Amino acid sequence: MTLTDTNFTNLDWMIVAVYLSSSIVIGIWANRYVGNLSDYLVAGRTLRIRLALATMTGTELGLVTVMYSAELGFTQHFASLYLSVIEGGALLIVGATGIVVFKLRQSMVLTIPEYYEQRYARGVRVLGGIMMVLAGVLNMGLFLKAGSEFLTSISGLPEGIYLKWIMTGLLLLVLFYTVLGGMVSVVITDLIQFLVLGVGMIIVSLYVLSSIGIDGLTAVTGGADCYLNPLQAKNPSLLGDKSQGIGLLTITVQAVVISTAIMLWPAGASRTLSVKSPETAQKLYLYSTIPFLARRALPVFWGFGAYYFFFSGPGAHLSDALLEAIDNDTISTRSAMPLFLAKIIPSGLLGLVTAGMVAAFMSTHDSYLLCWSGVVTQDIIAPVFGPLNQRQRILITRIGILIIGALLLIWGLWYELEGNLWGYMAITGTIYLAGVLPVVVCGLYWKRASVTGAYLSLLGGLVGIFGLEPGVRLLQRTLLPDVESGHVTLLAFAVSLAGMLLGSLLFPDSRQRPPAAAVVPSQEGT
Amino acid sequence: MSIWAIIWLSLLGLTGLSFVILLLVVGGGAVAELKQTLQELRDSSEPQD
Repeated sequence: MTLTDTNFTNLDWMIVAVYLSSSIVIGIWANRYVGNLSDYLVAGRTLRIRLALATMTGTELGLVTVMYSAELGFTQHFASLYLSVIEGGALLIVGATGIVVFKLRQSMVLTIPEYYEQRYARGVRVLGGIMMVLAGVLNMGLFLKAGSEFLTSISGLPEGIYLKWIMTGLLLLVLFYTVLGGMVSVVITDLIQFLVLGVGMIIVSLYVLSSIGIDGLTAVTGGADCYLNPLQAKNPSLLGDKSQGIGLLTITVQAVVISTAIMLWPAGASRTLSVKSPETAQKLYLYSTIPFLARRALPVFWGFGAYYFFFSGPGAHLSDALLEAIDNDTISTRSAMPLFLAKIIPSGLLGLVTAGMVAAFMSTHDSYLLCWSGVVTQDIIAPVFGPLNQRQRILITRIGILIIGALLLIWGLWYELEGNLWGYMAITGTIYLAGVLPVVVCGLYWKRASVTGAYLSLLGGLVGIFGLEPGVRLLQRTLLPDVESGHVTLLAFAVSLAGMLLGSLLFPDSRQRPPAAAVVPSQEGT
Repeated sequence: MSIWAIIWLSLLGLTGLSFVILLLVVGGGAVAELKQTLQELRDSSEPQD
């Protein structure tokens, strides 16, 4: 057995191809239900709780989530499950209290920047839209690469040759049906993907469990190289430099980022804004606890299974080759999980699982593309260039989807990731999250929150850019030798909060604005 | 087995089980809700008398 051996055959390719073709048919079919911009962006606000839950899971349980969680399972083992606990806890709190999401849905806005205009001013909406799209596109920048790494590793294709072509092909497919059908096609495909992927995840978990065995699980969790305690900063894994430790600073940073993202990450918020009522929005969060736990915990288990397989299990004779390939960067730590699954899942079933994973890839991509391009149309182009009719708005949204798609391809091909994928996601997300947290929360709950405070808060999020590896290295060389990206992330949140508080206290609005719940709902498409 | 191992393995087991239940409960109901949603969208896009 070699590292790239796989059970993936032509039968599996056929299964994947049939699935992808059906997605195209759905995109064309869903187009007939799109009557106006509200239908296109939020499916006419008609979603009930079960459908909303399925589609929210379909969106948030993306292949990129599976890949970064499995990577963490491979490099940080069960200790990385602390992220599931944080996310599950945050969802329970939001679901039980309705904090932020209830009032946000009550305000009847289509996007979060629209709320900025309702509560603050048009300029805040435009700046907020720009910050959101900047962070969102950067955040999505490596989705294509992660998806393609999965496909090449599981199918045994040589990564060097096929990676770029697969990235391009996947992107074109998603663009096709998102441009055509908007939110209606997104909801339909998300539901199918929720079912396909959900069943696929259970099957994979059972295969991983049978591959390790209960005895193996007991033995490996008792081993000296098994990382279990996230409070301990030193990672004992055999992967050396490629496996980062966790520790208190990382846990704090992740708690802040994940809690904010749960409430205000635009793709999730677009589901909040698509449901029938504020009560449904609150319930959606409560019930989402289970799929959100599963989306991280189960892939962590698969990544851990890969570690066991290659270092203690049947693939232990490949451990040297794997370590060498990881050191040489010919194989990334993200590829360990698909390389492992390719050896333990039989042909046919492997095709179904891969179709489920490609489904996961597409369900995240379509929602994100629609979300960011919706923001470009509604919150940047329309407020700056004047009134646009429904037809013009849908056209601009579609063009926005194509432009963002092209940017994603360029970024995915060009940017070389250092560190783990989740770290990159958290840092790029901070550019938006750090600013939006004070602007929305203070807007909803603090009467004195002012326009100046909102501007300063949004701009404060830009500090988060320095959390990316080149920025951290620059800071280490010039100012602070011991600084880490976690410090920069926390600093971005602190600067944004300080901007909101100082800006509002020193430069209050000339006329007092009511908190959001009392604001008259904006007219759709104005 | 350490306390951390017990915590994480319990979390994994509970998550897997509750995810299966969720799939069963939400799956069928969501398909029915999708039909309703599409019908509503079709009705709203038809011209009013």
